[in-house]
Amino acid sequence: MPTILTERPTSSPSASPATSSTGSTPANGTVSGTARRSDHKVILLGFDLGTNKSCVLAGAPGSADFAVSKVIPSVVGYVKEGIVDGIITGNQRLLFGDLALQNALHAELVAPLAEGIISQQEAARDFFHHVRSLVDPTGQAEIRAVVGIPANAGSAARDSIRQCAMGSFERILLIPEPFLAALGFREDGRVGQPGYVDPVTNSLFVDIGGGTSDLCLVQGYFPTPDDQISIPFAGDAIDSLIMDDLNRTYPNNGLTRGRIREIKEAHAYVGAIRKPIDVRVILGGKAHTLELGEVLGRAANTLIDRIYPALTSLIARAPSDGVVTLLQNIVVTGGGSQIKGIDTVLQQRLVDDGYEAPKVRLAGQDYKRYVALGAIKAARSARDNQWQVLLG
Amino acid sequence: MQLVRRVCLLRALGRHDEARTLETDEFPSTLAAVRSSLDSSALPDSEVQALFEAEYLRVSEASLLAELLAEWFQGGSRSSSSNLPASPPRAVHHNPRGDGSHAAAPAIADLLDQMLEAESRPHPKPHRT
Ligand SMILES: Nc1ncnc2c1ncn2[C@@H]1O[C@H](COP(=O)(O)OP(=O)(O)O)[C@@H](O)[C@H]1O
Repeated sequence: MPTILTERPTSSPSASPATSSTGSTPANGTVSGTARRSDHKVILLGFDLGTNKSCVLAGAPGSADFAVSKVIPSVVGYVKEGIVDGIITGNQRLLFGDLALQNALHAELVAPLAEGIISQQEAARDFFHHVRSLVDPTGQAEIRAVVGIPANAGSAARDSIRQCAMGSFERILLIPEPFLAALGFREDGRVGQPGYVDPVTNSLFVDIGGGTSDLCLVQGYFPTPDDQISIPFAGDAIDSLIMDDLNRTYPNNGLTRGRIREIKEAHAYVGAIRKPIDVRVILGGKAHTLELGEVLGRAANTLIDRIYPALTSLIARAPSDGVVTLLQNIVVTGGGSQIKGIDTVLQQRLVDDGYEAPKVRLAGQDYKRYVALGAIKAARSARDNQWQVLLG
Repeated sequence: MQLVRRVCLLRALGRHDEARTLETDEFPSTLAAVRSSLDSSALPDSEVQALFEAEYLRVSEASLLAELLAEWFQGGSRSSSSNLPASPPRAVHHNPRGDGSHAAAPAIADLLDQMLEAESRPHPKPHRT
């Protein structure tokens, strides 16, 4: 690919690396002087490019602070022709994230990604441009972005990200998301302390998103497709099960997918059926109370049935001498990690199946930020000559 | 007792499966042999337990010291600041199926080297299915 240069000596990985972030000569001389804008400010960007939501963390190379920290719905709104002035703030033609969603009536909404990879090139390009303008309003800085990619992303998916990022970022590195999640989740200050198992060296991440649940071993190297099992059953599938069940019990209930999702996000749980869970809904303009304990439990428990075999199959793939430690480091993340009881139910299943002292933890409220946090940590660690230069 | 030390060492290394195998398969017969060579009141279970605890403590102190020394050596050779020369990639081989579980935290820059090298290879190795 002529426009992407890897500024590193590819033939000899043990060759001495470039040593300075301020204008050293690349070892193989592949990059022209124009690619290195040493007179410009460098901004490091950790970018979790998600199907539903993206997270952006940016900061200066020498600093631990973030100048920008944002979660943005991954959506671009193209304002429809004929929308009169004043309807959209600032009469913008392109809207992003929440602003796009708020103006759904006046704009064509395009999600740049589907199932973790770019499906709409133009929207992705516009979205990247927007991210650049957030982290560098002056447009003068050199942006070095570490972008998370699914562990099973192929080379076409990688190329697509690089192509779309051209013109928005000057340098880029693509790193598998589960690794970045582990790096972001890691408590750096505790690494090396007795009893602390570094999730980067031995963990299993269960990421329950909208379209897929991705389970991945993180074992001290960048995970490959062999380390991951993706199951096309996650939050959206739970919504569908709830909807089907409700349609059977309450035909013509008129509940939208959005409302069902809200109900799920407020009440979903796994484990023994809990009753009653009374939910107030408006049907045909009138308030009704529906008892949804069983419906919600049944739908969410299906998720457990779907992901548990993948969990045990990945545990079986882990090296036998590290498996007991691995069992201490199973982390559930993604929106689905918010389902009540998911950690205890998975853990109990492992105990019941005889696994040695398993411990399943939740990534916690900050789950949306771990991939981006890992990405910016990786950006800080990347050597100058490892960045792939995008010549836009 | 050599066997007690081996069990404790395996546990400290996180190799619990092997430790358990030693404990359940070899240890009872060795203990029985030791007991029968002494008089019948020798080595009650409480003493065996104490032996394990003392040995475990020694092993964990030794492994902690080893970790600290390893960190200290690494700290001397690898700079934490990205503005200073980074150490060349360690002479470790990328070994996805190998024993990554007890390794010290990998240096991100080394992993990036491995990834970029793999990407630059014309035909990536086929993945196991
Ligand atoms: N509190 C919650 N309880 C149950 N599900 C939730 C909760 N919050 C978010 N979700 C679900 O998580 C899914 C989105 O997860 P997320 O990790 O953001 O997606 P992705 O990685 O696919 O972009 C959606 O199906 C959403 O409804």
